[in-house]
Amino acid sequence: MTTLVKRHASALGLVAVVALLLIVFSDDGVVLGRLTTIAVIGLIALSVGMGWGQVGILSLCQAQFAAVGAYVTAILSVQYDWPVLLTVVPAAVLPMLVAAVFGRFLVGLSALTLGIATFVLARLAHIAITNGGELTGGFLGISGVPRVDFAQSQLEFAFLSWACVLIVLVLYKNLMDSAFGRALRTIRHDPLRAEADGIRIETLQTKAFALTAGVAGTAGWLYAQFLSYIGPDSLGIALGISVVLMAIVGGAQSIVGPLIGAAVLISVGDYIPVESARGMVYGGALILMFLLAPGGLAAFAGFAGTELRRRRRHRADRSPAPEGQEAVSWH
Amino acid sequence: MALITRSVSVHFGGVVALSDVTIGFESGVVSGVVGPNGSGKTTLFNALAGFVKLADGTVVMDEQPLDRLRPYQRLQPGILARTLQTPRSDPDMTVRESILCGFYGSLRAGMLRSMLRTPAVRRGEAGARRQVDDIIGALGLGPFADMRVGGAPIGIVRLTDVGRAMAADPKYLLLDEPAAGLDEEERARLAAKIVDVARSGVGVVLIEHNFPLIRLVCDVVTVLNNGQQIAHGTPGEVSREPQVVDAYLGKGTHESTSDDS
Repeated sequence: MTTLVKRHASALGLVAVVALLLIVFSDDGVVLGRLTTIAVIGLIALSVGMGWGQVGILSLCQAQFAAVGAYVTAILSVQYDWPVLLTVVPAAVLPMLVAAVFGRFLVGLSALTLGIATFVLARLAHIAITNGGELTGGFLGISGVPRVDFAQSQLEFAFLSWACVLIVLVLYKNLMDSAFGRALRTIRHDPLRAEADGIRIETLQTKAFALTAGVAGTAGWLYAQFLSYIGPDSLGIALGISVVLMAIVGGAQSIVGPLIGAAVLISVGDYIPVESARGMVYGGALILMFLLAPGGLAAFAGFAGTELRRRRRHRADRSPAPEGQEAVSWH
Repeated sequence: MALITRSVSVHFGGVVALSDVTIGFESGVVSGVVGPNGSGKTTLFNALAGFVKLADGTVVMDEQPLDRLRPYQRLQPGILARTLQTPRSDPDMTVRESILCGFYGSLRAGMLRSMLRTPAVRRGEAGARRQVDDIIGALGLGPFADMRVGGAPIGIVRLTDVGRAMAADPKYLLLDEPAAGLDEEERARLAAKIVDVARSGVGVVLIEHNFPLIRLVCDVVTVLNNGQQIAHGTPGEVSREPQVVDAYLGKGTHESTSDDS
């Protein structure tokens, strides 16, 4: 039991703090709303963090995976009378399937090309949604999405959202503590070392990328219920970029980092009424992070640089330097 | 039962790294590969493991050609395992975690089962960790087990890589200069473990510059020079051959190899 607690200490700590806040502010609709928002958007930020921190994929379309989950939830519950609780399964799985299909092509790309590719996917998703006719409600979206039976009130739904966060964090940590997780770390550190361990790099990266889409889809499931509405601009490009900032500011590689980043940026953003000014604040936060956590910046920039160089070198010749030339260690 | 290169040639652009090399590495035997820098030793390992394209020839293991298999397919339990010429271990992992990475081939449960940490996954992890302890003990890595690889002495890092390769439970184990950076006591422990592994039926192939170690553990040695095989036999035999002395040890040092301690 104690090993279980130790393993998930950060997740439990975070959720315990939130649970306390939920109890203390159980009457305050604004606080409850903000905490729920942090959970839902934070899960999308987490999916970005998982992709960037563990797989090396900076995905600008995670909000769109969430949108797929949200639309699946809305369509099935509103148009086909599915019980909302059941819709969580397709809401998580469908984005995973989409990600698995595109992932095969994405994982072979260099970091910059990949980021652009995901951005293109995000735009395509937007187009698909707005032209979805009766199914997606086009520009009007779908309203009247119900909440699960046991989470109707603000407080109950807030607890549901954070219960989902806890479950995702536990599963994520379990994954990183397994052979699969160690393999992802090895791939991230040095693809040649990973190949020598018998790791099939593209397959693992695609699977992990699909998992991030599943997390985002689950966030979408919550989102649709939270606002009881989903439209083409609800989980759009701007959010897709904001969640990247949240993940980076909070710490992409850490389990709870992206959620902390979401908490910080959303809380601060709520005090800035003007939309465009929020962008300034988010960018400023990013800069502040770089200045105050130089180790973080160096690790991030160093990682991005070496990752690019390694991928180029690894693809150019799938072997260490010819004998007599010591391969340079990037440690 | 043997791992064989048949007439293998490897070219890097205009450079001929290996030329028509035919060697058989038998299971249960410790085979040495020696030669000056640039003679093609690591390229040979890369050819065996599938990291380089063969300009000519074929690699066969226990009568099965390996040519169609990509590196990750060859580096699986029951087939091959190797250390890399430069250890490329994650400096932020501990020595213990690094060796644990070697168990990927035997542990890899699916993503879902890993997330749920099913009893089977837990049993696998516990079992692997016990085996990691055994390897740590055998290689004398105890004092360094929970140290960051980035903070460990280079000899220990290389030894960790050896442990990682052993963890992969291969039929043929390719060790690239495992003794580099080790002191006498560590070398002796490594030698004992290598002999142990070979006795259990594994074919160990050892690239080494340290000839005393080669003498100590190798049943047979192949000498490479400029990508070609110039000698093959017991350590004693090859150390007396004039072309080996000239190529590897320099002219005029003929006597010093026979009475190395």
